[in-house]
Amino acid sequence: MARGKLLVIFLMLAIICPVMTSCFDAKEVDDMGFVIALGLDKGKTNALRMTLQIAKPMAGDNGGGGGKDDGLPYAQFSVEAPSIYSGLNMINTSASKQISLTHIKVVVFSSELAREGLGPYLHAMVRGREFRPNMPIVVARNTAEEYLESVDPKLVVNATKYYELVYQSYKYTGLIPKVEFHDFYLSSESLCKNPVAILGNTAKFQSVDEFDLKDSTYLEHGRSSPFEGDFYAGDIPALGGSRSENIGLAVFDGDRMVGELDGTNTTFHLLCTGDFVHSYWNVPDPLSEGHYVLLDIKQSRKPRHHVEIVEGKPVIHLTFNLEGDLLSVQSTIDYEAGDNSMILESAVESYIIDQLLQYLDKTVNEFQSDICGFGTHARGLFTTWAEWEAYQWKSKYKDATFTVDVNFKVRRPGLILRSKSSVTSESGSDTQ
Amino acid sequence: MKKKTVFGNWEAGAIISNLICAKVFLDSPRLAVETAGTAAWIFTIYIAILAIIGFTVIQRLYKPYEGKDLLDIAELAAGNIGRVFVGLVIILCLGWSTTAYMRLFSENMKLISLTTSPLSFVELFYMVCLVVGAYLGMEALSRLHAFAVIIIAAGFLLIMLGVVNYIDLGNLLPILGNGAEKIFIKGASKVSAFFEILVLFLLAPFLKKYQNFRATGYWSLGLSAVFLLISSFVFSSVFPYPSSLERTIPIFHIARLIKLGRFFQRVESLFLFIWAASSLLYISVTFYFILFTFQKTFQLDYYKPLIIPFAIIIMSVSFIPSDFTEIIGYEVNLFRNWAWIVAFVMPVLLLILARLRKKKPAR
Repeated sequence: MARGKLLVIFLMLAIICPVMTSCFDAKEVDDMGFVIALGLDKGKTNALRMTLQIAKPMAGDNGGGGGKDDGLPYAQFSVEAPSIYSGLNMINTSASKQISLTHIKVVVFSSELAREGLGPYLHAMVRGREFRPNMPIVVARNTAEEYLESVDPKLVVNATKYYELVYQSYKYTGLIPKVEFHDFYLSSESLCKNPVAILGNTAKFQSVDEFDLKDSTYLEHGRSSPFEGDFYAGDIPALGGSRSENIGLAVFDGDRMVGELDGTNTTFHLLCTGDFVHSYWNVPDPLSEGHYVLLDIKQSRKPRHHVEIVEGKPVIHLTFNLEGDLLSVQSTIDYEAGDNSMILESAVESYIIDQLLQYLDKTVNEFQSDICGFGTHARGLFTTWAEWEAYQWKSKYKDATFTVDVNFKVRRPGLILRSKSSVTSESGSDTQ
Repeated sequence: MKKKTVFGNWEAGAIISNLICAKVFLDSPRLAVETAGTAAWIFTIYIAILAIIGFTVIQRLYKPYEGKDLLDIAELAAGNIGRVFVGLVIILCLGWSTTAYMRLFSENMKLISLTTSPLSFVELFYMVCLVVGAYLGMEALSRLHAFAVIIIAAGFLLIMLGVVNYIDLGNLLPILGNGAEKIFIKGASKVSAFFEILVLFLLAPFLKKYQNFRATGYWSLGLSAVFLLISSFVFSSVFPYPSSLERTIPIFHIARLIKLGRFFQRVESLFLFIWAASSLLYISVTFYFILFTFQKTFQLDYYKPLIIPFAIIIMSVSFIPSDFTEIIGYEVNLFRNWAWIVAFVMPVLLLILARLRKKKPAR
């Protein structure tokens, strides 16, 4: 009996041991080439031009180990192919390692490709298990290849960390949208929402002498000089760091790109979707023309959306609850307390309402695309899916009207409790 | 002398709960969405209520048959022919679900992890486990369930908690989804999701007392309903309808979304672990009960000589469907539409017949 049991155990072990070695799927990490960024453009000789950035394993660790040739922690490959996976095959013929997409950090599409529709590529990415649902989606205003070439991380030695951090900047600038592939794909198929992507481009200025405001949107926003968000990617008068710029968003209708929004409108987009975290704002001083009050504004509560359908047309009511800390008062007017504080708060509310309505007007009249997902709130007005489908929200969105209510409160005055002007030798006051 | 195996409510509850809930890791959330659209969670509550009502009727009728399994009752109701017929029906149904799940689990494993391994190699894992499980017997399986199910449940709940920030309750609207008729009338047959309660009627001799049988039934149905509800609620609120219909392995897609900072990513490896554990337990138990039923149906002294031949048959039959979608068709469209007759109607009819037969000689 005991011998029989021993035999069974021996047989089981004999069967389990080879199974546990996982010989068919065994892969050495060192034998793999991990793609960290993928760029897709229209090709000259084929449907696609694929650009891959493949991490050099030793380069990211100590900052000095790799990148012997160009100092970059990755190697860049480009290939023209009919599809993503055939492109991988082609690169695999020349790369010394087997290419893997399991660690991909960003996918960049050229705006030319995006305007034709991304459906075929999105489906390939959802079906393929290697693409991560959390990777950001970027639309490059010129070409994805050029955009990826211009990435030159200066502050981090690990390129994957660069990509993970740079697209998180919406949390403290509000100038790019929060985009994950998961949301992008679902929105492209949705009946009640359209997707957006981060707008990227290579900086157009090579030296400070070339700086100009030709492509700034400040006039569109009714300003005499540009604010930090009044630019599209590539147009910011700035030098240093990586030459790839990310500011603004690409507007889609389904899987097709239909337009662009600048950084300022992106901030209002984030406010409407509830993804706004905090950022620094310039607000015109209500009591002193030509001066600005600088505020660190954050969302105290998620926005409230209430959608009605009146005579077949959507009427959307939005309520925002924001709060801010004073960072700087250029006019040195005492906005910290009392009536002045209330004047400032109501000026900020009017300013935000005005800018919000401009942004919403663009989504309705210029793009006719519900990129804020108001449709998700409209669904509650219907009892069954068939009724909702029959309403055709996306085609009705162009008739939408809005009412906006903003509640803004200055919470903290910063480290100065009372503003005082500086004193000059002529006993006059000076602004900071 | 052969030792009689007896185990407690917890072990039996864990076995039944795992049998019912294993499908959460396969296609149950998608099945709910296919039937009810955005109202998948309402549909899940509805079929759970139907299952509990069904079980209430059965357990009331079961009262005089303490310690008897369905085969004993079939014999009381219709003699040897009844026992053989019911035994064959049970073997067919358990065989169907075992082969279908063996293939589905293996195909899914190939899809997400062992992509280059041949299917037969992946199925070998399952075959080894079901053979070992059957050799060790019900007592070992029940003890294993007693702690393994806790780990599986904890892992599952962790995954569900991990995607809290992706939950959008707006995705549950319109509230009635595909409509009341599709949910409450056409959807009623999907109570077959609780088909595995049938195993409880085979477990009765192991539980001995009627009270244990009843308590185990309610506890396992209640727990399973909660887990099925959580899975369909989270799935349909994270993936909006109709995009949710595309997802092959719903919980895997949910697990892939979890990202807690830059450090905690790729939590789907946890999913793989609990999923493999749940599926191995499922297949081991159903396989054991195929052998148990066969032995009892044909009044054999031993079941162990049947283990290897039956395991080979199960593995061979699982290769018959030509592709993944075909096996889903067999499991979802066929089995899950009709299995409720075997799980709920057949026991009720047998119990009524047995009662009638019992009354006859008295007259």
